[in-house]
Amino acid sequence: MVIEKIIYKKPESLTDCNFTYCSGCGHSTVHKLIAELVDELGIREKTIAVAPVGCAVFAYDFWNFDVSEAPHGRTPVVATAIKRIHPDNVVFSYQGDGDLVSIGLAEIMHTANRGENISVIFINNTNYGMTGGQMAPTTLLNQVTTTSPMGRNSKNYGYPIKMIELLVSLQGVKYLERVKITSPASILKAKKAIKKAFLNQINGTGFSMVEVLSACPESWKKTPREAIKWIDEEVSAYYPVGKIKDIE
Amino acid sequence: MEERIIIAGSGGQGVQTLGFLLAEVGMSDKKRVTWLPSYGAEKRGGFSFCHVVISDQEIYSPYIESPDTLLLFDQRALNTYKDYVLNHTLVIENSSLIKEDTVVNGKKVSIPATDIANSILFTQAANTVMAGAYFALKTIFHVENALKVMRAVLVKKSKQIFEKNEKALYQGFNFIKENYQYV
Amino acid sequence: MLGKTIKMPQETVFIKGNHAIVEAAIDAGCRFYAGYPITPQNEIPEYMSKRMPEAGGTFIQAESELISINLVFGAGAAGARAMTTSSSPGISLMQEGISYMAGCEVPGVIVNIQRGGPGLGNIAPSQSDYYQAVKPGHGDFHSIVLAPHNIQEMYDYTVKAFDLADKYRIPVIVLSDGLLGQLMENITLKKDQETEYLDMPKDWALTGAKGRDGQRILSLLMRPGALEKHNEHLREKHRTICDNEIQYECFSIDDDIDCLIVAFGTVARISKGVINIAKDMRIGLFRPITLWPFPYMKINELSKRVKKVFVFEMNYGQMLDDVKIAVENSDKIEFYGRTGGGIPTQEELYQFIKARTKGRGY
Repeated sequence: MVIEKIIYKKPESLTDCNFTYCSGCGHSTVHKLIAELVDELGIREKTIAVAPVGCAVFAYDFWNFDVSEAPHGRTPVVATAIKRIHPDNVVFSYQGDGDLVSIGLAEIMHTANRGENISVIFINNTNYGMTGGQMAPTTLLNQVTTTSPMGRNSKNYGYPIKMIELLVSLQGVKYLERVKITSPASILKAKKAIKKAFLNQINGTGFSMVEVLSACPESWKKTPREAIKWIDEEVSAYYPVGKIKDIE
Repeated sequence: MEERIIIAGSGGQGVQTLGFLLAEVGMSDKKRVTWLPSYGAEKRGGFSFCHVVISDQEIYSPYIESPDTLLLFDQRALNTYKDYVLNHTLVIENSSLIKEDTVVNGKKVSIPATDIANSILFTQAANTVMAGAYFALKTIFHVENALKVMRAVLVKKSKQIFEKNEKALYQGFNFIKENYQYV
Repeated sequence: MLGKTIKMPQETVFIKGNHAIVEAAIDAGCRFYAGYPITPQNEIPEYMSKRMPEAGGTFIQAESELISINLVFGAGAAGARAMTTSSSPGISLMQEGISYMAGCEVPGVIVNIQRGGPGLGNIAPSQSDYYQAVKPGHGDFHSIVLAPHNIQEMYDYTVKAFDLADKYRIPVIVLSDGLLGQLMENITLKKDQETEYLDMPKDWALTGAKGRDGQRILSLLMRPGALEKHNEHLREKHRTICDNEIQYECFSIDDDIDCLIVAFGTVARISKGVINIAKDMRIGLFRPITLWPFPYMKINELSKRVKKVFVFEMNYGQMLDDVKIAVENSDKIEFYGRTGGGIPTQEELYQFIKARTKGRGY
């Protein structure tokens, strides 16, 4: 007699909708990590997410909990208001680098400075994926994009912004960690970091943000494997992974 | 009955407070009242004015172009509003700070309000002196009503300040009674 | 403090327009406010920072008008009655958020204490945001626009704005101006009056997916035909509002009038004064209270009975466009407007009517 044992299943916090992201894209991985965590923490019925403008605008197709859209960059602002109205719910914003670092820089700084008790998941893939791979504030020096065809140079385009290092001095900020998702081990680390960001909110600790160095093979003109290698060698050399701030 | 009053002077002279006092006196008489202050970046020393309308009926425009009464605290105020004076307009000017004898159409009354306030060692009360003059000239309101309103507001803050204002009110009132008997 | 509300017998108060907005919001059950300083509406966030915590609600001093409107968007999406206030340049910044609220069908109240423009303009009263209120931001949508003309209405229509917002899941704009914001007047508060739609269930709001699948607040509809279908739905809603919510005041309008003034807000109030002094003429005032939906039919009907239609505004003729749509023979229309903070006086408007009617009033 064969005994069947379920050893793996789709998280309840995911819908039946297939991910529509490109192959090798980091969004699918992080979406799934979040869904698994929401299941594990038993907070599906309490979670409210705010999706950005960018590729992840479609997050609401994939997550089976409440999700709001927000105007470009205003994502943490919408999350702030929802959290203030429903302080017992778990509210997070999910933002790309165009949304968070470029158009929404004022919004994330002030949300952080007010010490809003929300979690922010920040996907840094060093370009604007959805609109066709334009330069972002996070684009590395010499990186070729559709609006920096000769590679980003600091003279005309300035330097890539290290968002976590920018936020670290704000007293309202309690937890900052940068992670990557290039191997099973690093993915598990990323999950642990996101879990901490959620638990901080549940425990009332305050503003927490996890930056995920994420692949965009399509815009980077790389295979998924090359993209991961580029993160390990180049991207994480400029944006060092690790816990930057952790105040209990 | 509708009484339309413009008060003008410089920020810090108590222009807005005087307007507010007249509005409150109107209300204590169960009238409809509007009080429209000037507002803006200028504070102390800047041009300050307010429009007060007190009426038995619905007040249409709270913005005054044909004043029944003009209370003018200094030369700049007079220069600004002298063209607003109509034949029926009563002008009360603070002659301590208005030295030019500008001819106006209406009835003009001069009172050295700042000097009177200084004489009781309370220069801030020039506006209350002006109020006293107003109540001496406009018999639609009783000066006792003004005193009652002032007492309600000021006694809570300081009995001494109330008493000084009471003195200023009657000095203004009596100055008119003594010098402008014909009014 | 000068300008502080004075309580009178029988629930009447002597109150500043900006403070009346705050009392109305609290009385209407609004428990979330976000605002950014700008003259001439600063008394609203200042007073709200005291009143809202007293009422057990949330006050946030936003760091920009973009943040203000998106906080209102988020609070509205979470099911709360929420409000922001600003003045003209700040409202320009909010247009993006208002469009999102309309697209996502998130209710909320936006008060505009208008000042002179364009650009930084000045801080004097103006009605030059008629266009941006009535013919707003990007996309096919409308906000309901209410135009009070005295302090009692600043209170009453702010209360009503919350009901309309919830009833139709739509942004509602209270379009006022610096004069009404700064003016103090005696009014009656209706403290214990329950608003009609306060307890309306909001099963669409984001509260956490308790016992249900997750639901969404969104305006992005990329599937072919999906957005057109959504906009059709919005259009149906707009039609229902046009059928049911038009409000106006007819002042001194009888069968004998020769000419009609059409004016809203502060200018309507001044126009009443014009009629009061123009004893030698037979003039009536038609005052739209809802600027959207606009009372086209009523103006059309009244315009047929008069020889002249005067449109008075504190702008260069923005509502004039809508009056032209309403009046079949636009030769009848005469427009007079002041701009840049200029307030037309009763005498000025009276003389204009006289000049355009050869002194006869028709």
